Amino acid sequence: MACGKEEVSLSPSQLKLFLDAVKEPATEDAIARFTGLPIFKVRSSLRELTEAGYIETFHNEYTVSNKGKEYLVQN
Amino acid sequence: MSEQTKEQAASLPRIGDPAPQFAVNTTHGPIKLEDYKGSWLVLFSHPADFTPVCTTEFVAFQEIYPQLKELNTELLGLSVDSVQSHIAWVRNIQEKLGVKVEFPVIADLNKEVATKYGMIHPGESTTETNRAVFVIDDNQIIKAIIYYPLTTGRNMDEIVRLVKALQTTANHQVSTPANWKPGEKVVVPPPSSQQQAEERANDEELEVIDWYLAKKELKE
Repeated sequence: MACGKEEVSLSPSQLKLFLDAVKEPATEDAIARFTGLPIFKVRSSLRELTEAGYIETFHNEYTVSNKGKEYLVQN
Repeated sequence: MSEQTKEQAASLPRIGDPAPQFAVNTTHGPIKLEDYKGSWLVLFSHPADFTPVCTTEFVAFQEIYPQLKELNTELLGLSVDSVQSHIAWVRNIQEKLGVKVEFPVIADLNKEVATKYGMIHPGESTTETNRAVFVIDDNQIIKAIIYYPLTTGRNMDEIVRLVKALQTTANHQVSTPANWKPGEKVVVPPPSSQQQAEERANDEELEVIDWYLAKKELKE
């Protein structure tokens, strides 16, 4: 894209919500309950945040990465 | 019909086929079809942003979105406009009509999804998607397809009724008669043997009009 692009499509408040949801390892369903978002939105956002390095995944659970922790401290 | 048109028609998804997978940019960020596994999905296309009939439809789709969510069904729009155009349009709808569009809209600039799903009918327009509706079940199988031309806005009550009818069929292995609405009697499958046909006539749970046409109340 000629004019640049945000790192992720989530807004700052959405990003913080997701990082708060995975402070402890959590499944997709648990994250959906925590955020109150539909499952498609949870799955697509987790994929985006994992690819951007904010979240790590292990055995079908998601947890905040060092980059995500840093974001939470700064915001 | 030209050979090319015949080939395109032959490759279009049909009822009962697995829904063609896609990974797209939307007004809610990148989405894959597989993200909807476990939910039903109404995937619909519209010709273009900032056009009059489409604007009335977006308002109407948003009005039925809460009902669809209660049916474990999501909405996903599509046109060949950009994400920025979609964002500007949904913001304009909110500003001018007071309706916040909450479902995502695909920016199918390269027409990849529109082509996979046969949403462009060259006889009508080679540049715009028509008013297609694909109802996809929780296993990502296409359960119903509706096409409307550019000039005719869709009937939202029918889309909700269709989803309810399809889910009733999926959950109870029955069919639904003409103009069926939830709460009304459903149609049981026709007998597949002479013995079944004879016993059906004596089944007190059924309203038997004739051996091949019988209805029953649904027990929840």
